[in-house]
Amino acid sequence: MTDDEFEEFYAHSVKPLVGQVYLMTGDLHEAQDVVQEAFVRAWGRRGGLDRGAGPEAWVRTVAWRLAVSRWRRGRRAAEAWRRHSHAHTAEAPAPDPGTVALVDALRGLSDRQRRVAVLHYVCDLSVDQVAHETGISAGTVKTHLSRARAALAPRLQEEEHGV
Amino acid sequence: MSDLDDVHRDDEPLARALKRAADAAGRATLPEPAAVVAARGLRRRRRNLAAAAACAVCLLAGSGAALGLRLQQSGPVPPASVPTYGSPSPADGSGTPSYAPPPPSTATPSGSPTPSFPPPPPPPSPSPSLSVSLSVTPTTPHR
Repeated sequence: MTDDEFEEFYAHSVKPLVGQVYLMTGDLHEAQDVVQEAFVRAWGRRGGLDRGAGPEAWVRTVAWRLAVSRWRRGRRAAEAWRRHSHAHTAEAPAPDPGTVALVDALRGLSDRQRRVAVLHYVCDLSVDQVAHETGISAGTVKTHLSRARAALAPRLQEEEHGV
Repeated sequence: MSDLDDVHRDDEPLARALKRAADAAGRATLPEPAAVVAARGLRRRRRNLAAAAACAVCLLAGSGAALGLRLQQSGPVPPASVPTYGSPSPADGSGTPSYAPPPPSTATPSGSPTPSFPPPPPPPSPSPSLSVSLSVTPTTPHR
């Protein structure tokens, strides 16, 4: 992939990728940050991005791993704060009031279920492709999809009925 | 087959709603220009190259220093046991004796405390002949 092709790929896919990662992480700023960082890393290896599942899947996977890594680091820092300072006992901040009910419901899912649901429903990947990208078996992907669907369906009906 | 269709029919509104949320989030972002991303990527690559070069230099310098120390330490080795004869300073153990120690022979070297002349005769002791003569002489004739 040349520099021009990379710029075209970036301009074409940065916004959809931010949206997908936002649904996976539940934090728009975090999603924007990790997607930018993933594109920076992709520029360094743009010669081999076309291999495998494609450049978009590569950037999405790297962004997801960056988000998970940051989330773990932040959780460890919060635990350390709680351990060493009894004054900082506040929990994680509540979701923004403007967030839609569906995104709230997505936040209630586990990380894996959320990722699998976004890859299947938003990125239009098949069960096998989701299994390949996430590294879990197809049966587990189906189980996660079923549980995610069961958790999201009531919120979806609320949204459709305007509740 | 009908179950699968029902599942897909149920999935379509969910997929539509999720895609709508993702599109809204994507529209709300203001991504950096591609040139900025490329510049950051270039800086990152240079930083990685510099770190790799520094690691290689440290590795080479460390192995060179270790090799030099090893060569420096492989000089003359002191003897395992301290020699008993002929060493000018056997306490420090440095250097080798200038000559071999003499073998433990029966020949006495000059200046040795052993006397070279025969020992003096022992003092006179009572001779057994006298005792015999004394024991024999008291024979008197009986008349």
